[in-house]
Amino acid sequence: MQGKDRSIENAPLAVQELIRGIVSAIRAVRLYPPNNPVYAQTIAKSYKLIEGYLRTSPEFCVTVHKTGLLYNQILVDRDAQLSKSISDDLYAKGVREITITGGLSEQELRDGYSVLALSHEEVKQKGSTASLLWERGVAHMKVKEASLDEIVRGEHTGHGAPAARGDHGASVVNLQELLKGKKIDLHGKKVMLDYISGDPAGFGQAALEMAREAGETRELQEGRLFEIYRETGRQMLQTAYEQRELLFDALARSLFSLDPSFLDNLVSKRLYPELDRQSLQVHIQEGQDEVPHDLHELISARFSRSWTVPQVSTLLQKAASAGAADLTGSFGSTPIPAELAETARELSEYTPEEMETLRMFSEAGGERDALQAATATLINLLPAAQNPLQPSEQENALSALSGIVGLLEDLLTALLDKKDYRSAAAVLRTFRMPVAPPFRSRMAEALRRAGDVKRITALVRTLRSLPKNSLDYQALSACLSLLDREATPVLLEMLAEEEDRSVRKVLIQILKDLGKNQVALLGERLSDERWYFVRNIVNILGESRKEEVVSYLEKVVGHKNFQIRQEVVRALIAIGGKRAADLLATCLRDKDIDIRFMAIRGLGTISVPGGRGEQELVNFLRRGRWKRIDPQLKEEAVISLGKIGGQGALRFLRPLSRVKWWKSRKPQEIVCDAAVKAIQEIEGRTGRAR
Amino acid sequence: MPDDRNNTLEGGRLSFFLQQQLVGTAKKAFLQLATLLKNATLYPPAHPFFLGSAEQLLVTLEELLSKRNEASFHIIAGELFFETLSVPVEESLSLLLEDISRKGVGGITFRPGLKRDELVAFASLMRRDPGALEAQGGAAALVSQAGIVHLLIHKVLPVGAAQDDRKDKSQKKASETYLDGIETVRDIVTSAHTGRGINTGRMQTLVHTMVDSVLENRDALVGLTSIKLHDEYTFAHSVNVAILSIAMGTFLSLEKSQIATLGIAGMLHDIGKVKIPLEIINKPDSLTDAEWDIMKRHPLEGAMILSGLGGVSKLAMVTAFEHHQHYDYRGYPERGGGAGQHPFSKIVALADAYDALTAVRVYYSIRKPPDEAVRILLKKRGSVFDPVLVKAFVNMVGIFPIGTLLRLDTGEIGLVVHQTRDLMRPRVLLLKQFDGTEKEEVSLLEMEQGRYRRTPLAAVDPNAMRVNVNQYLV
Repeated sequence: MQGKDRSIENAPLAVQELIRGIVSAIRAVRLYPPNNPVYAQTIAKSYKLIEGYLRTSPEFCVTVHKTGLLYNQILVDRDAQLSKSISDDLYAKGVREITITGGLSEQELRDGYSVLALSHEEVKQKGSTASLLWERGVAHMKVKEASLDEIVRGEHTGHGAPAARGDHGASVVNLQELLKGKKIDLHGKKVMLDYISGDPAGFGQAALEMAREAGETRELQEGRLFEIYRETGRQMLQTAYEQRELLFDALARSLFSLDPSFLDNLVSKRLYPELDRQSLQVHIQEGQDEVPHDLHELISARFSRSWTVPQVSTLLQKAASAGAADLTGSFGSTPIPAELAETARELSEYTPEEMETLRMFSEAGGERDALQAATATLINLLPAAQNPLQPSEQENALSALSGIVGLLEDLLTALLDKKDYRSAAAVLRTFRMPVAPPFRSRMAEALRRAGDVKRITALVRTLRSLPKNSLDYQALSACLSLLDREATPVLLEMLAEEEDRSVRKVLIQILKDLGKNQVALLGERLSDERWYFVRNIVNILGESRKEEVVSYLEKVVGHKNFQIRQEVVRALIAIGGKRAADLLATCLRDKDIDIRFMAIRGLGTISVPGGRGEQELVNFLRRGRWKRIDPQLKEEAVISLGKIGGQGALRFLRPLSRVKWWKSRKPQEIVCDAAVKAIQEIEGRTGRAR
Repeated sequence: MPDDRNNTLEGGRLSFFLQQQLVGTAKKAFLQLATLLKNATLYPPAHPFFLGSAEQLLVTLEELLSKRNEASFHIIAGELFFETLSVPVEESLSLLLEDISRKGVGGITFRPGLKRDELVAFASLMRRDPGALEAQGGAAALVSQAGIVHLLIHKVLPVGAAQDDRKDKSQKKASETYLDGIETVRDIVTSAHTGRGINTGRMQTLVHTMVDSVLENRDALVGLTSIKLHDEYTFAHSVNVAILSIAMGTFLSLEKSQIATLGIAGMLHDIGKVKIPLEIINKPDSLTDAEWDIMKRHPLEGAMILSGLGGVSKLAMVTAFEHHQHYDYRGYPERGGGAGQHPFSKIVALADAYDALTAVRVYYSIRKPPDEAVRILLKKRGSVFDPVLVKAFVNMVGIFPIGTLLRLDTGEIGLVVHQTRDLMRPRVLLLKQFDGTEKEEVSLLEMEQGRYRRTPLAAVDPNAMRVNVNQYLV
């Protein structure tokens, strides 16, 4: 391609004059008959100017551009309408360069002008401008035509191939050497391969000119252009297989030099479909009929038209490698198989089950259905949001995740409004899903918002109204369980405020379910001033039956409120284990007899032989020798000791099994009986153990 | 007269289920009418068999009339319709259709208050041969003269020029809508590529037009999907899937707003492909497994895009995500939870696959007969696709889809332009000059002397015949 136009002032005046002379001469030859004086005068004038120029230069070369004639890449006489119309006509006829060399005669020039003045149709009929000049013996005027450059190639070096571009340069230069003399035949025209590689844009223009001869419509022209490129490619493979990569690269570049619409259409409507056709044929030959076809996924994804040279180069090579035939594959006429009628009959009737399925189809898309489907999809999108496809989008991953979580939050509200607790629970479960550190705060925020006080209050009220074993009750309970951290304090407050005992029972029941995993949270609330509030918490903690609860209960084991202490004992018994037993043992010193009583019984249930419980019971009974203890309490302690005691307890119990004559008999007998039984129990147990 | 080309939903929506029930009852009534007319030729009017058959027909007609002001049957080009619904009839009953038509009866309307005696009188009248009926002023006049007031006879009406004109108009409108669809998809894709907001308003307007167009004349728009615009297939595919999904929605009698949602879902189902790197999309070679894995992420990416798109039902997002998940829980992407594909996803998946299969034949000129696509869909019933949906889908698009060339036993070449109840016997346009000027449409259900006038023998490749099918469809 020619460079950009430069200022007319840069062209030497002599050259401007010379070119005007050529243009005038061609115009005169076209307009006047040879016997007209203007005809002869104009040619003579032009001849003088050329002759003068050739006295100092071996040749005169002018490049033909659509907008005018160029000398050394300079547009000469750019604005002159005369020059433009002539250059336009020459360009349309495929003339790209005119070179006049020394030794030219006036007759030769006259003949040369008569050829250059021929109409497009005349040139087309008679062959090409170059061949007409040759036929008329015009030896000192050569033209370089679009896609036909051998005439100037051999002799002319001054305006050879344009410099190779960019990094491609070195290889192109080497390629030029390798391709020297290699040519292909394109629709009767010889094309040098080094021309294609050296001037891809020039070849592109030439190919386009040839394609335009196919007809007026764009489709015909594109069809021809595709054929030209494919044929060029085929012959490249035959003629210079070793250099194919660089040659196809040049061919691709030549396409890129064309008007973008030609490039786009050729690539998207011809080259890719050709590639797809080949791939599909292979696919079908392999007997695959995957549905939907993988390849179709690719075909229907080519929205963008940002092709690259290597891509187009490969496409051209594949198109060239493929057989030319078979473009219009046909199945001809396929008889309709007899079994098709049977299939058709089967298809036209629906069974009742099928009708039912179709009824469900026709009811799809409703609000509830859409909510559920959207929820399920968004949940599935969360992992992908954390791992974007493009590394460049990693920065946006948090915003993507946040967007999805935001939608899920909206959906949660809608789902709860629609009483779809199952789907709501799925959303809540998602908020608790483990995520990578950068996303955790967003998930935690979602969970916190989900556990809004008003919402929890409303949900709990709804829960209370539902039959306990109903599916809705279970689903809503699951929702609240998932919101345990948020729901627990709200429930506790509700419980504290609630006056209706039956409601309180329900709330406690709910809290027992939720509070299991919220020990720390509940433990923190044990310092509340409201005794009933604390008692409820202790109750719930006890129901959790977790050993870690014991450390929280230590804070309230000595609470001034009797009911709380009582609840603590119950909780410790419920929890069991060594730690609970140890703490329970401290209750033996409680000022309230009922609590001591409960503690004694409890120790008998949860303590282990040899543990602190045994020792505390012994101590408790010992203290009773000098401090009066209620005989019933003493009896209970002995019974408990029998359940958990070891050798130490035996030693302690034996004296108690004997009645002291100096003491009142009846109370002693109760304790003695209990001690005897306890000893038997311990001996039985320790004996079995031995 | 019913609109034999359309499945209009005028006069209120009837669910697919109820439609099929109605068709069943109508078929039963017609069978009973056939028995009555047969008995009229065998027994005297007072014979218990004859009266009994009239009684039976009356009961069925009363059932039909319990929910409507009148029950109308029409015979058009060999096909039986109850109101606007095509009623399948066995070949044996086709004889009766032909006989009734020959007697100048194009339709019968029954009205509430119908008596058994009126049916008996009508059946007795119909015993006469066509000539005699004609000579006495025709069946309609005789019915009136006989004092039969709850039964109305309609004359045989040819498919006239008025309908041709209407068809041309709807065809033109459909073509414009289709091309607008391609531009809209192009706009959507460009917006998604560049990160600009998608013009949902334009898309919704288009889809509403499409829904109206399909409701008005399903064949016109569905026919356009079969031509696979060579130049624009990438964009046309999304439009085709939208149209086929909308058509399926109307076929299943979904609510209009749901059909529109389905259309949008179809149009946007592949939007995630804009996120796939261009070096994969435009790779001029086979993709590696790793590249395919990335390619298979497009449902996820599509759902991500649509999750943030306001003004569009979230079911579009669901469909984009699920359209490659199979009926048997295979496919991709994998999903948590036990729920299967949403019904809309199943419809879009089917439309997507069908368009892909037919593209192979039309766009890439691969040697495949037109019924191949249907065969493959049927083969994949229960694995890739919902078997019931496939059945309904094939009933909608036909075994020989619109645009198929058929060689008939008469030596004629017919271009399928409309599906009838009999999947093997569509309505065809008879091609003679092959220049796009032909107008003569015939139903392959039409009979003559107890035999079908025309029967398809073979599917013909338009390429082999050098027939430009597009000129008849666009």
